[in-house]
Amino acid sequence: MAAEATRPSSGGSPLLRIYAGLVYVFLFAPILVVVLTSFNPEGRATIPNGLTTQWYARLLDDGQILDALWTSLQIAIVTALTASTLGLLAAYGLSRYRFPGRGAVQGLFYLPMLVPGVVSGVAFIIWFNRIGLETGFLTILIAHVIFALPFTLTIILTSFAGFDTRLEEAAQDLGATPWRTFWRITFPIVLPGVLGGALIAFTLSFDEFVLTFFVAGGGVQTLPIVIYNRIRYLLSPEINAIATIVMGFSIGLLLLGQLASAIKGRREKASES
Amino acid sequence: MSSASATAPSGRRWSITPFLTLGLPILVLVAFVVLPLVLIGVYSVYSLSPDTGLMQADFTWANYERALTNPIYRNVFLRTLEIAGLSTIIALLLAYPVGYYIGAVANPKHQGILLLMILIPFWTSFIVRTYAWIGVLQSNGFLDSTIGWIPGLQTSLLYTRFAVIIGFVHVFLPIMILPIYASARNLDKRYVEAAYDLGATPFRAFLRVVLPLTMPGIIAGIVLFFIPTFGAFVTPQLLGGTSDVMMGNVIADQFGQAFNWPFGAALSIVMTVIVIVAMTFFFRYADVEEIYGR
Repeated sequence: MAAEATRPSSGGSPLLRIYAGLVYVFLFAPILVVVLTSFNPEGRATIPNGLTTQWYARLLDDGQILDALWTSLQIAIVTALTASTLGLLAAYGLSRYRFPGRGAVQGLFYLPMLVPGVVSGVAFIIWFNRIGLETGFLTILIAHVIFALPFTLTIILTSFAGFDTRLEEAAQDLGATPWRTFWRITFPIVLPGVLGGALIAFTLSFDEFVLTFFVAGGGVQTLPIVIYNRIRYLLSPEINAIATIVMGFSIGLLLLGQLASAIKGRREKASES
Repeated sequence: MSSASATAPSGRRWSITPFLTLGLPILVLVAFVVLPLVLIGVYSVYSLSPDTGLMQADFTWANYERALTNPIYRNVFLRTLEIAGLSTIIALLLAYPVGYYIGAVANPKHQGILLLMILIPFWTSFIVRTYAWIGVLQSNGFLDSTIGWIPGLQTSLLYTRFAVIIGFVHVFLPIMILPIYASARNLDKRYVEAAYDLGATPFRAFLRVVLPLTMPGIIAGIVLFFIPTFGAFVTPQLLGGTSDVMMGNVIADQFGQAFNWPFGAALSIVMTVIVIVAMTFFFRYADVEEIYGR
């Protein structure tokens, strides 16, 4: 059935199309239910009898959610800055030099991706306990940076991959110091990758739950932690409203990233021809 | 970093800088990834003092013995494998046709938007997507209030194994679709046409040509889906009943309610070893460059 679809004449079997369409419906339907429920006067997931914005209005009085939103934004911004700085340093070193043990260093950078979330959470909590670091903002930040770094590094490395190093050599032949060469030549060229890496780190941090659950302690609460606690212990309809806002925000960031890479791709195409 | 190095013969210019730049990230990773993981290993052979119930330095395999032979934990382990395995199979049945459709069938002009539609749910808050199923599946929830009149569907599906599996499939489906899409896109259609020209039926052409050629994507998709499912903690916690407790929940409990760090550490090591074995399989049999390189 599927193979037939590859024949240039057939243009895709209708059965395959319908099947794929249904999978898309499956991916989006629960998300749409949350959005729909956020405007439902009854405050639960049913076919609504009317529309209301009261749950959004209630958010404005919900100090816990607003505090958590602010905490999440702060942590996500610092995570994005830290992860993209570390990622830039690592990508520079990895792409510019061949040295013994390079493979092991590269493996080390991807190690956090291989360890299951729960195990990472456990490792962080016993380690912070051991070195006497009190759980809170800083421990969440460390966990988020480690979690985001492999993703950020991957993106920054791709912008180093197509780099013409003769540009740097030319700058240095003209008497620029390595420092100046980096800021005037290298950095502007890899900047799209660095921004992409920062964006992904921001998104991952803003959404991160499992590690935060372990390392947050009692004092500091991020938005996913507050949502989780509300879901578990009391159902509050405002959750649908904040969830809708958060989803809109993440989708906005994703579209922004896609738009930026589309523009970059078009510009590169234009400069090639 | 001095200007002297700038005037050195080409090729030796970057002799020191790479180490300076790599030094800081390596230091951070050693301090907050390697050492914590080593400490899990150390704690996993510690014991609890019978008098105080506190952890004490020791060298014992008792925690591993308990993790691997105690029927309670063996059952949790088998259940985790069962739930993760079943979810993986169902996800593959959904992901393959979609990945194949986007990569090899759909109009290339539409590929970008079709992929974006896969990425949007993926970038939507993980906790929110899990929460969404509570609203859909709970009694008086969305399914109940829309199709609850169908006999047999009145009961709440929330807090069942069905809910856990559907939650997994929904949350991790995009990461399975992406590698399948990538290998379908790289599929050389001339091979398929050749199979037809030689008289193969569509089914046979699929089985003997398309399936083997997209196998790297299938394996990558299975592994990328299975790993987070196997180590999951949130989904069974929010959607599952008490009889759907998975390894991740048991590990988390050792650091919360049960407060047995050495045993929790041993369980963590067992889980990590399983995942690393799965990853090794992935890197052996699926050419990663092939999938993500282009």
